[in-house]
Amino acid sequence: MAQQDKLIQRIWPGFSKSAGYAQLRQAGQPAAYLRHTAELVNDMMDAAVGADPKQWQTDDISGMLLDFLEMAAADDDADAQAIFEETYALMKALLSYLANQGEIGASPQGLTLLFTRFEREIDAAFGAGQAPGFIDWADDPQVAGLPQWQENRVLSLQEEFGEWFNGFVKLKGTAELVKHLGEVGLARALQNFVERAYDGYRKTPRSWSKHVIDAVYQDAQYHQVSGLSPAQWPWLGKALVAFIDYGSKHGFVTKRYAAQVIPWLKSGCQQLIATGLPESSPLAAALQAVIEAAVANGELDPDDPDAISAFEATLQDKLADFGMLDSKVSMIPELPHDPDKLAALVKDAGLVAELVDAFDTDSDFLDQHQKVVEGRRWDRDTAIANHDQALEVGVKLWLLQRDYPFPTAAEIADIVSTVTAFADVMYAQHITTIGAWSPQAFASYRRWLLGREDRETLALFVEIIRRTIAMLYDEATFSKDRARKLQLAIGATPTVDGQGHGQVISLDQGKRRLAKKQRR
Amino acid sequence: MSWTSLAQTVGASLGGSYLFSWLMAVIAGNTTQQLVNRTGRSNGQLWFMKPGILVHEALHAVVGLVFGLHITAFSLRPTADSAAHVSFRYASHSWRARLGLFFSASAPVWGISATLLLLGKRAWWPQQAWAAISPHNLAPDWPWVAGWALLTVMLTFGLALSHQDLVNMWRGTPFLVVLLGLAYAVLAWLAPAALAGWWRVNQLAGGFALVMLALSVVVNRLVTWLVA
Repeated sequence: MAQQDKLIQRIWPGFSKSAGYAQLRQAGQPAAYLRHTAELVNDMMDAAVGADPKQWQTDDISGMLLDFLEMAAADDDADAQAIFEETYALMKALLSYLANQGEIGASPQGLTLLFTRFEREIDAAFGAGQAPGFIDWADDPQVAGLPQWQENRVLSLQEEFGEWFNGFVKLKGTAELVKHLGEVGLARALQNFVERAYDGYRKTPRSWSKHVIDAVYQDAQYHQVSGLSPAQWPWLGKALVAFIDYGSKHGFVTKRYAAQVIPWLKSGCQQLIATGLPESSPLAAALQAVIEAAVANGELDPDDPDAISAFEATLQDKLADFGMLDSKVSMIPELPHDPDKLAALVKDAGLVAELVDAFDTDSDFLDQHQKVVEGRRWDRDTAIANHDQALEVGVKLWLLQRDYPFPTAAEIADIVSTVTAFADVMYAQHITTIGAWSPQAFASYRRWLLGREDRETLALFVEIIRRTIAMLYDEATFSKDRARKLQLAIGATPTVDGQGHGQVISLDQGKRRLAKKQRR
Repeated sequence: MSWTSLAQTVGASLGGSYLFSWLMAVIAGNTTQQLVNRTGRSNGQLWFMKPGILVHEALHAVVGLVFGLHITAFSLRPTADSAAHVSFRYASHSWRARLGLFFSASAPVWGISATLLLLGKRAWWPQQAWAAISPHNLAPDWPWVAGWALLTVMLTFGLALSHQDLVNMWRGTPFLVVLLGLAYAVLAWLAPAALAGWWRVNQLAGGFALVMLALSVVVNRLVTWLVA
């Protein structure tokens, strides 16, 4: 915090004399508000990237701006867009000034390009309701040629692929692919597909277009590196379908994306149609028979790929799951509706334990994890203790809705499962227990989440985690500074009031406070 | 108090319930999984599994109602992660409701078993008293046997308790243990001879459980042979 304060303190005399600052003042923004917002921007960058401004690259700043835009666009407040635009004007002026002065890692030219692209998205985000998390800067069609190849992006893709593939290969349904391709062969074929799509087209799996999939599928270089023999080649289609399907169920790509691409993969490309499912599968036979019948009856035009795609999508819905499903019986203790009575139940340890048992339905949280992160070693007992603590935190957060009200009609199951899943991921991937949660881990997760969830889901997630942090701050689990940084890092407006002592304010209160400051 | 007597009564009732439920979950689960693998469809999408699923959920719901649990949701429509579902709310301070957790969660196993055994008795020994039943006096009523066999195959798919069902049984277990413990103490004090009767009931239930397990294994082998 001291380092950040020094940065703002050091640059403020110069910045307050800059042309950008003068424009802001002429637009009617109060000096105190500008200073306050500058510190907030500094906090956000510190939480997301690190305290050293020299580390702030264009990519980091774009991530922070996207987070901020996403948060503002998801806000129902009528003033949200106005507040965002005024705050963005300051961000732009401040960051441009810092880049011109060589105070940050990003170059002035890189920032100018970034701001130009970003501003195109603001109206789209507020007007058309497009989730800004889907913006892929590297694929801006307005830029001639391909964007610069970045080693860190490839490394992060490789890391993500490893996580994705490790889960995918454990599926029962993957056994058939492994039988034909071998585990190493399957990994090699898919990893090279991922890397070739980036190397050749700068596309990551969540933004693979049909054009890119088709292009990589026919790419001579990919054919060389895929390691697939002619006999194995037809299995690539099924592997891609299953891989994307798994990815959509585990947050690597959105379900919406998978719903568009999977039917196309099975129907849009002849090679993939033929190999989308093993010939021996009764499902493949049934699928083919239904399509042929529809074509024969004149219900389906075989030359219309869109019609085939839609038809296949409908079939896929009907044949959605090949797995064995359990019946689901949930038994929840009756809880009062009155918030005061509900809050009083926090002291009923027996009931809390019972609710924890009722919602402890996830048995997969020990399956995938890092072994060592920054010297911290994963430990099974600690993972279980952390999971149990998270369940209890989630239950208490629900019971204390009087103090931490939820803006949407969230159910207790949403709250408990979100808090628990988040705590499980924090431990599995960063080996940090609840009391040791770090802003860097939060920011990393937030970036990972962007583009994988739709706006409503993401907004609800942020709200739940923000309130979790507020409650844990009130329980003295975190210091005020840590709580603020955690809230910022997850993409929430900090609600731990810097002026008070442990006071927690709501998002709406925070927004109103900001608006009042602006109008002074 | 004798430890042997306690084991034969309270222990056998509880242990037998869990062992039977778990074995049924394993066998019936395997039967269902084989058909799912063969057809490439989930059990919620296979018409011949619907009756088993319907009875499974209905038993959860009806027994839950009997014990004062409030049904907040009931659906036989398969979703992404369940073949069907029923949701309850219960008064956490009610002993009756807490016992209901155990009995409602385990209801598909003993409900379907009891149904098949009663119908089986009617089909194979229509004129015999229960005590007189033996392989030597079989008198099959063939239309009933055919119906019973069909029902046995179909309801087998509803016998498998899910992991969540077993967890819910476990949540109700402490209260059942207390209840059975009290019953044992009262009987041991006032009517010790009744403890021997309790043990005989457990043995009889064990025998019926073995019959049901044998039936489930037969259906399982039949399915294995059919899908091979």
